Amino acid sequence: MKNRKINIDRPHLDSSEIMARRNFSEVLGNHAVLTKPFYKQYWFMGTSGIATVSLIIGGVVSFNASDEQIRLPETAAINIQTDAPPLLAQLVNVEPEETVSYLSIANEEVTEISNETENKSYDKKTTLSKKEVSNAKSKVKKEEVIQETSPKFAVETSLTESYDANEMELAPRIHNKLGGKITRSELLDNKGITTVADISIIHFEMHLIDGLGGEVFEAENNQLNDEMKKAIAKVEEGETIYFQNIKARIKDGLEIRLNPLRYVLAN
Amino acid sequence: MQEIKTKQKTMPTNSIYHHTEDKLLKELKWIQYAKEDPRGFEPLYNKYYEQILRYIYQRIDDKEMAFDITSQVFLKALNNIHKYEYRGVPFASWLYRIAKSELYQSFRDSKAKRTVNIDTVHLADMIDEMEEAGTDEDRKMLIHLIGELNDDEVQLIEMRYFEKRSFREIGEILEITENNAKVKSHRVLKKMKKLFNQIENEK
Repeated sequence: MKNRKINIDRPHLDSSEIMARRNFSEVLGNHAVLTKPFYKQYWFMGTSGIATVSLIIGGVVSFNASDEQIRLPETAAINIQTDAPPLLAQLVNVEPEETVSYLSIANEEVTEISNETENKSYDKKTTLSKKEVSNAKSKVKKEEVIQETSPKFAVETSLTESYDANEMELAPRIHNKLGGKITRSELLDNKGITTVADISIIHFEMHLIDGLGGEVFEAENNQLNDEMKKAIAKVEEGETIYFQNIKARIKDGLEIRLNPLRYVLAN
Repeated sequence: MQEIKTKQKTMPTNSIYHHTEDKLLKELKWIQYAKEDPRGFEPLYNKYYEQILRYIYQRIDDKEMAFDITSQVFLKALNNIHKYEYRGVPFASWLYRIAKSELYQSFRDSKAKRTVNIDTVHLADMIDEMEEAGTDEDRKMLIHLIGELNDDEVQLIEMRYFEKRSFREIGEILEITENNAKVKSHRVLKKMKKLFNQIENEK
């Protein structure tokens, strides 16, 4: 005999009793209790899932952004007192990569100018002069020579490394200002462009940009020439003056390129 | 065998279970309401409560336990109504399957004991189909034989002879085809007849 009970002629349940004990509200009440809590609902899972993914992405992006800031300490240090554009600040170091970038900049200039020459739409006010073209070409040639003479290049690199510690000393300045607002009298200071380090500036360019375009002036020492002073006299307050392509000669007669300067005329 | 088939065809079956197509569609509407709002489940609850309770009470001894399990069955059905898929059979077959599962759970948890409730009236029908005399001794022997059957065989005998279900209904509850339900029922009856004859010959 299996483990089961056998009943013979057990009295049947009365239908009225069954009907009396039927209670749908009790089932409905229990159903409400057993209904999934909010944290098991699909909408909650979906929302929290999206929020989690967004947080992770946001965290990664902000972490990367802060990492980039940490990677540029030199630029940040130079920019403490100035508004100088940070892009060219990296070109202070005469490292192999920097030389190549200089070369590429020169190439770009040549390409831009040659295109304009081809189009015969040359405008002294808005573009670089023909002299610039020849200068740029000569720069390219010069850089090519530097690349070919690798022993000299190596010396240059090592010297630059020795200057890294005193980078601020190599920062050019006018009236001891590294950038920002400058008065006309400060700008026309007799000392011209100077550095803390004992180096002599042998070349620089002054770029004046107004609503019509730009004008470029060149000097082969650290002093502003008469042409530059006349141009500065015409510049209105609030306009920006750039000093770029500042070259200096250091020990052993080697040339280096210094940070550009950017000033806003105060009066 | 031919006689048995003829008698089975004429045997009365549970008419509450079987539905016309219109009734099935109406029931399907109720199910849709229930899926949208649990309160829409009430017509289904009212319609099938007694059937399910009797099915459960047929298999256990304790009346209160039968009511509890029935409530549990409907609660489970309501909680899982969104999973229900219409397959052209009455909603009751889905409820019976839940009831069967809940019953087995109760037996496993030792909350209830498997019971076979036999009405002598129905037993007479069975003896008649087995072409036996129907004496008191035969009845006792038949009860003894039912006790010897395994759970699946008892279930078939219960549904077919004590609850008067059609083969189609048995098939839908047990999730087998109508023909399979028919074949299985005949095999159980044949086995019982064989055992019956063996015992008689031993005497």
